Amino acid sequence: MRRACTWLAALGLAVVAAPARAQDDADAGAPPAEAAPAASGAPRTPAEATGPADPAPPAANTLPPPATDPRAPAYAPAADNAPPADNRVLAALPLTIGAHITPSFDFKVRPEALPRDGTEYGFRTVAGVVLRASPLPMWSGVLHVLFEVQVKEVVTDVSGVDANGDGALEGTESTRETLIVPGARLEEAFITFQPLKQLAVRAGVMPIPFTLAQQTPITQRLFPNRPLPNDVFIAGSDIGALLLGDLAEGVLTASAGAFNGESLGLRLRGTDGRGIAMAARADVNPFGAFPVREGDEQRSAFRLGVGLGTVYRPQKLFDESSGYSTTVSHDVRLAASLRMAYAGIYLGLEYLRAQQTDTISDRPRLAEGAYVQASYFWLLRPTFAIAPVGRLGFTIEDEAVDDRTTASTELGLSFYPRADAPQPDILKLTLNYIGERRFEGEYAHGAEASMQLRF
Amino acid sequence: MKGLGLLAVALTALAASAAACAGPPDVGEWGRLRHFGQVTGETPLDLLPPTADRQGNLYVLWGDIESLQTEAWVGRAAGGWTRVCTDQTKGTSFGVHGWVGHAESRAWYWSGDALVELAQPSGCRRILDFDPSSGASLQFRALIPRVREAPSRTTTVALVQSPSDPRPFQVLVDLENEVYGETTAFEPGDASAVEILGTGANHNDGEGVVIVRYQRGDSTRTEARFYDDFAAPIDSVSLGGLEDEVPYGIAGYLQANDEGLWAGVLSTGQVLVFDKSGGRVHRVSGMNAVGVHRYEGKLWVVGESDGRPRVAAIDDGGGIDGAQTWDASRAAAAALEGTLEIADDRSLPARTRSWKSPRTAIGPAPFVSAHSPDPYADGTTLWAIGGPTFDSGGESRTAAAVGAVGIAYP
Repeated sequence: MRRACTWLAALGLAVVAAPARAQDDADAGAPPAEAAPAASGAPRTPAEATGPADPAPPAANTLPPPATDPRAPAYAPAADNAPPADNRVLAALPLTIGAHITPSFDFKVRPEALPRDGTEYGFRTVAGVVLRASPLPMWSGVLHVLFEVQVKEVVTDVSGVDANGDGALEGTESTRETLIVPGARLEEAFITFQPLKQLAVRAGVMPIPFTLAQQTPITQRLFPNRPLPNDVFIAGSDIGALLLGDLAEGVLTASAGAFNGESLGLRLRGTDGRGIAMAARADVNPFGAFPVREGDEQRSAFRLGVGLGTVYRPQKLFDESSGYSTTVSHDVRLAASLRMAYAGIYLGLEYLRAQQTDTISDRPRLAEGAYVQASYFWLLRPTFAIAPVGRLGFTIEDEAVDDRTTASTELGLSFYPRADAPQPDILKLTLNYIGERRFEGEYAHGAEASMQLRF
Repeated sequence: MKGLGLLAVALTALAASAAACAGPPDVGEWGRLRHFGQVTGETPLDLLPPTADRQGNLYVLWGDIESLQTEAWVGRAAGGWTRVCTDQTKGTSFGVHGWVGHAESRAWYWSGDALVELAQPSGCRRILDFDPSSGASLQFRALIPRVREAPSRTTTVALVQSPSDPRPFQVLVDLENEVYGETTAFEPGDASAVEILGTGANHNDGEGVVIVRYQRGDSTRTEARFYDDFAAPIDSVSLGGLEDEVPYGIAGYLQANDEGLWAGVLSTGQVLVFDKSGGRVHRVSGMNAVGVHRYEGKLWVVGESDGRPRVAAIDDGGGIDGAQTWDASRAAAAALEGTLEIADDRSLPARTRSWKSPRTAIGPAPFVSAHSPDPYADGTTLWAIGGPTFDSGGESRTAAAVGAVGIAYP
């Protein structure tokens, strides 16, 4: 029954989105390249006509090739991993709609936990709808909404069973409860103004350009979730404004902006902090633009990317109960990344560090984390591919006091039933093992099966 | 594009400089001192070295093993203080034993037969004051001063006893859910007159120790019993020379170094050192021993001589080096000379006050205490100082403040 509910929810979204012709959906996933020209009758781009080795789009904060049509949208939004197949098509269609659906099933076992928390499993569905429009020259907008429904079966109690009344327990009996957790949130909602080829300004809801993982759209990741270290430092989208620059068509990209900072993790509880988070990031891709996606399903030529991101948030902390300001804190975070892709092999590393100081405690709060992830896109047949994927990560919190380390291991296999599509991950199935070693020697083991469809 | 790059560089530099300007204090240097309240008595006050939880909330406890009175304050990490409770001691024989430990946003102390939780803003409460199943009053006869905060639960190890029990039980106390488990009876079953001389924890390997003395037939036995984090006995060793030691006579807690050597100061001023193979009692020359501290995996006997702070290292073999002047303590005392600015954030908004030549509020000199100072941040601990003293209702009260101070051992 629960499975049916999940699929019905997904189907509902699919029906809603079906009439739309997704031309360049970034997060929702680009449509097959041949679909756009066929639908619009517009000529294909030279790249598509020749069967590009890498039809991957530019990075989230990089600019696409200059538009030849002045009416065409000049700037591809952050989530857009598939630039317009033909700008004239977009000019004729100022609004495009895309969608993505990812139903999954997961379970997790925590041997050391209380019986109540020992076993957890359930279905989960994440779906998203992306609307993007370019109503005026140099102006474009994106609206990306994520819908999520989780059905969780939780063991709430375990008791011994003395079936024959001899005082010895013959077995155990568990009590389970079902939790249904629906939700919707804005992943992206922003306006972009691009007066120059190398420069754009963006404002609205978007991820802070701090880490590489944070910029990778939900459908472009190796795993269904972002790396654990990333989520400790920053999670979700934020509200702010961003200045983006691109030099040499993706070889050097940079961005700087200001945000509310609500997406930053590692916050001091019991306080109400007020302060603007200033963020900056620069990426150097000496062998050409590196799309913000994980994996190398296009089996590209050699690419290398090095990036550095920082967030600085000076804030006034207010006592929650009295409302008075008590101290000023300085929150500094740094991220460094390295990634490489070649002929189906993808390797990504990222290191993160945070230091928070204030004027009252004389105790810096330090945290660091890192992860490495890799995959190999293996084309077994012209229409079918698999990709072994792996990710190792750790975070260390409270480094200056009594450090707590959490390590995570994720191993899996992704299947591409339509590997012949210009974007093979338009349909992707994944099976993953998820292991976590938390502080005090406690473990969690789990697995996840998911399917992703973009249209 | 060039401007954007410069902006990014400037932002990084600004962030780095802001972080560098707010580091922890150097050795002997005091950080921001916060006035938390007025404490009964004159310096040195019966205060334990303060402690802090992970969030940075501060906990101050006034009390002594020989007094049933207690008073506790909690300071919020971002400012503001609450005097959370008084006189939570249970029983009529003993007062404050010490801090048990802390977790994310709470701390626990052991006073008399009570285990007390301090939290902000919920205040304080006794943990397992009564047995959940029988309703009998529970006495915490011994507590391993270590809180194991794991993702699944927060626990400590204790020896508990109800008035009707002839001997205590070893239990694992779930501090979140106020239940206990892993219960095993004290062995041997014919033991009587069980007394606790001292307890300790080794945070390095999650081990605890309880020194017990009991009667079996006509003989008196004294043992150090070792427990793991789950209240399972892992070893025991007989100890001699403790026949005359008073119950709870070991000052503060027993401390362990990284090699598994334990030490504590007896009520006679001698130092007990032992490991799992046996132990012995030392006389300390050159100072009046006050307590044993653990710092960066090593053990130190601390004390005073003619009012001067003294410290002596305990080597891995259990030998005690010669006492020497404790420079860090003297530096911290010297830094208190003159007029100091104190932040009075007992109620918000905070105000700044000036105290003339405040003194250490704990022990004869900074860091000299029966209890090992709690690590606060790298190279720092929390310590209390006493300011103006005045009469209130016929008793002396002293304004006291707490703050971070840089600490080091020779």
